[in-house]
Amino acid sequence: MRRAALLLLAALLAYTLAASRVECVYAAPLSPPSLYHPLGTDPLGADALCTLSKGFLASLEAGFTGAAAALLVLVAASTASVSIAADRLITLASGVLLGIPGIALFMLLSMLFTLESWQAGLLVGFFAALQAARSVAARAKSVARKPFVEAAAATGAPRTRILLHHILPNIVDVLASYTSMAAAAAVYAEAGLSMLGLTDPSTPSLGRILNLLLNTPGAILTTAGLVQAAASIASIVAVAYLFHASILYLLEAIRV
Amino acid sequence: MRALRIAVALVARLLAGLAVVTVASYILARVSLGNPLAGLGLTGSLPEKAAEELTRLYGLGEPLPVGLVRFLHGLLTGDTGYSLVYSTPAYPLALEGYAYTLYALLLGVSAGVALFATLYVALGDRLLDALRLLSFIPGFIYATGWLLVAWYTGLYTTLPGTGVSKIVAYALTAAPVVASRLAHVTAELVESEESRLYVLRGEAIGAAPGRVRVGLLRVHAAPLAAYTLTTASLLLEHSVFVEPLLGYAGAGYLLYTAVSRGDPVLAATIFTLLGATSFTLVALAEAVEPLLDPRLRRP
Repeated sequence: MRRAALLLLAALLAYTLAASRVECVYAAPLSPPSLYHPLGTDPLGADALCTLSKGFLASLEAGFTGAAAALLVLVAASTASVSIAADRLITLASGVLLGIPGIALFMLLSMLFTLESWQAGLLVGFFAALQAARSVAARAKSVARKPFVEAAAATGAPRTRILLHHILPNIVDVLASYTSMAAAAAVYAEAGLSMLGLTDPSTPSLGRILNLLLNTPGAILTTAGLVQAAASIASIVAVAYLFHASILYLLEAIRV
Repeated sequence: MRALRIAVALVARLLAGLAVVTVASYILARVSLGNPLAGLGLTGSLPEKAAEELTRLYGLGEPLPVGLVRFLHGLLTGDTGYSLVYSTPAYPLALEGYAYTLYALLLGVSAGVALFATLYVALGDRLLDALRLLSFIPGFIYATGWLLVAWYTGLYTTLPGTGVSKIVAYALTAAPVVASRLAHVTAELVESEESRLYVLRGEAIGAAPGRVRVGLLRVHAAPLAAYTLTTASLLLEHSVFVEPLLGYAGAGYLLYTAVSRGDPVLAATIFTLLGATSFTLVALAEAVEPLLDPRLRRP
């Protein structure tokens, strides 16, 4: 199942990369689905399948950057097991930032900067990982107390080696779990912010398709509008799930 | 004694967190939204003197540190200034919206917990596998579905308000999020050695599967309660996505309008309220587990 998700994600990435280079065909706005326009046309008259494909890319960007940011933060959190200073810093940072309502913060930030999909993903990934940092640090510290790690330390192994060879391989399941959650959160947050019109309006996004449909009077009551809204929602959920499943598969594969 | 220590640590952490969130919310709101009145005088749509007078009245022209001190004082006295968009005092407006949000979320969380407990006791592990797949889907995805239902059936109006039908729609948006997240964490909890032994003992004495599952829920009440609190915090955070979609005039809706239409005072007030609640819920979740869990309780 997870391997299939990884393959699907790779196929989706290849497809959207190809689709992003193609100009969308325009016709009458909100034309119903047909052979030439399988999902009809959007309220601006663009082929909806084409805009949906471009929207996939934005979601994938958000997911990838969210996962990368989360993984970096979580690996940094695991250094709490070998450094007291890092442990204190993580406790302090997560304690202070844990309760900040992230989405509200991104809304305010979107007024300050024009957030692109990858930037929204990066921010969400960072905040989501920060919430999990203490759990990862606690798990890493519990591994550091195990006899085989203490034996390595007693033989004079440097802290970097202990971290890379003994601690990280033993917390990979927690890293995978939290990274996949952060990636899914990044996909959803990017879609939500775009849906409210708070990301870069020139970048196509699955959320922006919904925003356009919801803000064009009567659009959602047409067949094309309903089909496109359903396709956008299904796509957002599918991309988030694909990230979740594939990251779990990838990191488990690395562990084996 | 232990409870007192936990309470003191909780209050200290809350105060530190509140200080950070309050200062950050004011600075962010002022810096990101600026002074929306400044441009009006320049374009001629408002006499320059009138724009200056309004800027002074709304406290948007004063230096950031002065404004911050005034805002902090206002939070304590219940007067943070006027909302630019709604032309009413921002603090009571924010509190009213916040109360509506909490009311709907309380209903939603209660419905979600009841839904999960009922389905789990009746259906068991099959339900956990099905429900946990939905655990990453946020509330605004369900809200979009409700919006489509509203448009097609006319069940409720999409105009802003806080009517009963909207509260029900909001609660029905929150309930599946709570139920699926509880299913996710329960699926992990029932795999523990302790749970397996509990089930084996129950089967050995011939207890009905439903009764065993009720017992399992009681055994894991502490982590489930803590997880419910963190989920409530997440739902509160996502209110800024859900409420504009449902047209529910709660804190999330007010924050969205404050940000999109440029109302720094209202945005900072609501951000502070949301942050304060979020901190409280997360801190409570951390405090609840050691207090309720007998394994972590000390004599």
